[in-house]
Amino acid sequence: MQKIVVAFTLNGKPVRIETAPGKRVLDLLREDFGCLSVKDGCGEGECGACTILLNGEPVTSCQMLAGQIDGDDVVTLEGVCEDGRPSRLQECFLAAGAVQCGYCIPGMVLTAKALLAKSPHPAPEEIRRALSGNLCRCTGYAKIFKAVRMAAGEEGGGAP
Amino acid sequence: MTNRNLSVVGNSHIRKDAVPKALGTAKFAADYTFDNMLYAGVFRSRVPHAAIRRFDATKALQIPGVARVLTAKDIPGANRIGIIVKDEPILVDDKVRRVGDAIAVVAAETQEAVAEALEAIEIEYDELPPVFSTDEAARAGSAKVHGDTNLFMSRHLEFGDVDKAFAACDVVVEGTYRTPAYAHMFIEPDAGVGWIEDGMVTVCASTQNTHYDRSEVARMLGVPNNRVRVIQATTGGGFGGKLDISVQCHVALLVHATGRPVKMVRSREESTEVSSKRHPFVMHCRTGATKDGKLQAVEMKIVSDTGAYASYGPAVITRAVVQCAGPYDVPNVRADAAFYYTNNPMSGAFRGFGVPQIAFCHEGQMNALAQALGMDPIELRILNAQRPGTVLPTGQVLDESVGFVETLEAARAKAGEVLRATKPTQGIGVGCMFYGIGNTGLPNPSAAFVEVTGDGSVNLMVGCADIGQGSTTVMAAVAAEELGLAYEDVLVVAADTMVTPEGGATSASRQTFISGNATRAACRQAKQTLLAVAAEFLNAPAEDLVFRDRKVFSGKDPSVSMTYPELMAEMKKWGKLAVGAGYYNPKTTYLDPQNMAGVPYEVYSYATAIALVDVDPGTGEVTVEKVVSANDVGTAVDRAMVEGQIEGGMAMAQGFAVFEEVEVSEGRIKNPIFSKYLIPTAMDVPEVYPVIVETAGEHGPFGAKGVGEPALIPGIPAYANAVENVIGARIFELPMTPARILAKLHKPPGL
Repeated sequence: MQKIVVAFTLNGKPVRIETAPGKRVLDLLREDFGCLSVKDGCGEGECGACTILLNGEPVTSCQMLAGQIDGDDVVTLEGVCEDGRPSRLQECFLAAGAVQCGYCIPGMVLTAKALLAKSPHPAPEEIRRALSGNLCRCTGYAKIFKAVRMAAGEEGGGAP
Repeated sequence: MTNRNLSVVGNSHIRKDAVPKALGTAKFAADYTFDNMLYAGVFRSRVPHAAIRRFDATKALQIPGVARVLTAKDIPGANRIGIIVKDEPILVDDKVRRVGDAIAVVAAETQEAVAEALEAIEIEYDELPPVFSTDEAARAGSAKVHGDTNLFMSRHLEFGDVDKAFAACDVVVEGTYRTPAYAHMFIEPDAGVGWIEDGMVTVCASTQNTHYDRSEVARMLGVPNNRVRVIQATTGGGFGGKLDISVQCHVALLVHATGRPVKMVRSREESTEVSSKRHPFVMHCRTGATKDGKLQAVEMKIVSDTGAYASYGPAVITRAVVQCAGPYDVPNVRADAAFYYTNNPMSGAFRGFGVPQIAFCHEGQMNALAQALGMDPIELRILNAQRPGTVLPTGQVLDESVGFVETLEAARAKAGEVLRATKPTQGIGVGCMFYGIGNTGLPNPSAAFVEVTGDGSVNLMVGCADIGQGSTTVMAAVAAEELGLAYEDVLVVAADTMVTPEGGATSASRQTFISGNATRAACRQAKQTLLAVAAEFLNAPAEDLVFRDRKVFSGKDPSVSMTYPELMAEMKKWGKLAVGAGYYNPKTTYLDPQNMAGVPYEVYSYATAIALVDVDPGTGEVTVEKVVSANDVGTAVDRAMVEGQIEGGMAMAQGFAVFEEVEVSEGRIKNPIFSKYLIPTAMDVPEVYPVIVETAGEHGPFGAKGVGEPALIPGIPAYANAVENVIGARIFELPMTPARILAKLHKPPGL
């Protein structure tokens, strides 16, 4: 089978891999790089569980093929953690009680990170709009919004 | 409100499972891989009702990398599964009853080879006449899905003298209400892995009930329960949709046949197609009252399509009947329900077991009654509310643990602060519910094992599956409170059949109440040993001693005290171990099949939601703007988690009320994926104002009841009634799509 070589930056480190050109980035990250935080929820780019940051932008990795990330900067949730510990944004998710089943959380955190990078003090509508590509069936999003507001310093810690 | 003096229960904690989930390191079933692992998939029927004339896997087996193709003939033991009625084949052996029935399982070295093999399997059917509606199912001479009748089950409830009561009523309102099938749409599709360890088939899967899974796998393999191990993987939501067997038996069969690790992950489409759906209901209801608003009689007829297999149908039909009159004191009630088998997708458990459907109906009736009487809808409900001493339609007399009026008053007070209709397109609606905690009129015990180790840290083993609702955190808080330790001191091992005792299903909002009581019972047993040693050491009567904040002290003289490390050192000195096993079975009775009399549940949760909606008269679009929901949870074990349930419930309720509906055509689901079955997004959801109401009562651990399903239910009728109040026309059918609303707006009011 024909293979291609893809080189990109993954969580700050340059990587190179020979892979099938038709391989989804989602599968490449999970199977070849062990980035298991990237979740497969629907395979059609609707649920956002497979969200990664591609050059800082949240994208659904199930809708991208390996060749499309050549030369790009890819960040998964593994790259957001700090030495295996939660970053400040993740701490806010914990303190807000934003985590229930947890399947959507990696995508939510990455989307929130991208939002806060662009807009450090997002308005409530901006938070809703930014997260609208990440589905959650458990929380009703309320405590996820709260986590983002806490990370933006808009809402007191009130750590539970 | 309670005035319990608690140190752990009632606070908000960082959930036990939250850190690995926030880090992305929590292992869901699809995240497991093993050396020498096979991938697996299922060959499914594409027709709804047929005998299989020819099945040929020859070509599939010739594909490089394909290891096995197994059919019903390869099952060593029983080939029927089902939580209540064992009517579903693991692999079809007689006939196909629905689109998506499992016919064969395939295992191969790669996922690609699995897909190729599934394409290469050849099949020919002798199609049978299909049954796609309850009318067709009930028709004499229709094709039969199972046996010689399609009537799966009927239930009759009779209480008081309904006909006489209606004859004396001043006002009677009536309506026929319809709710569709809904899909759970948990974000993690079903998945599982299996392997052989010490000669034992082991399955690790996304599930709501490991002990049930174990028994089905053991029956299938023809081995004792303790020769199979089922472990719950981190589970990405369930809502009832992961109560049935999904991949567990298929994985176990392939592991058994190959001796190799096997992984099976469903696609979104497959997951939606074959997991259960909410029972679609048609409900005809009459509600009668005196002119001053006192309810006198309710009569409800329910018909539902239970689909191709029983699943949790018996639980849904029974609960719907016993709760049909809602959270009110109604002296005369009659209900008749009939569930039919069809060749449609299987209906089963979904957050609320029929109560979301009947609540839409009984609350629609209450809204209509309030209008007919010119009464305030909250006052009408307060007038008729269940209270301590109320006799339910089952004859059960309620005790003091009833907080319904408190939810009405708390919701009204909060709504007064935050909800205001400011435009004619806006309106406010009320929805209420009560919910019996646990299985209906059946024993449903849970157990727990506990050990307080030598340094005062605790291992707690419970069978109860945490599917994201937070039971592991609840059990830790209950154990810490009972033992007088800190939340952080307790490690919970949950839902592993080789380690934890039976916990029953994570369903019916039962785990906080039942596994919570089991946890407390286990801790009390361990505490007996601790107490005797502490009493001896402190030279104080055991009954005076208090365990709290990692100390043991005399309630009469707090200076008489010892720390937990001191206590555990004493325990060691005397060679004592602080261990406990406990179980709890709720105090219920079987129900009389003639009239449903009995005690279906030990305790009930109550809730009132008040919603503000906006209806666009041009497009018919319904926007849910804000909702207050007050839930009587007995005691909130963890306040943030109770709020999280209410917020999530109000969002799911919006989906059900406004846009969700499983579209089924010729037995096939037309919208099994998120781009076609829309669930509420961050842009859609209302602002939710959760209100926690805590009533007295000592049934559950520290008074806790349950909230998982009660958090959802009142939102649906609150939204429907709010829309009704805006457009001045009754809402009889969900979801309230723009087309349906526009049709109402173009009719004269009142129709």
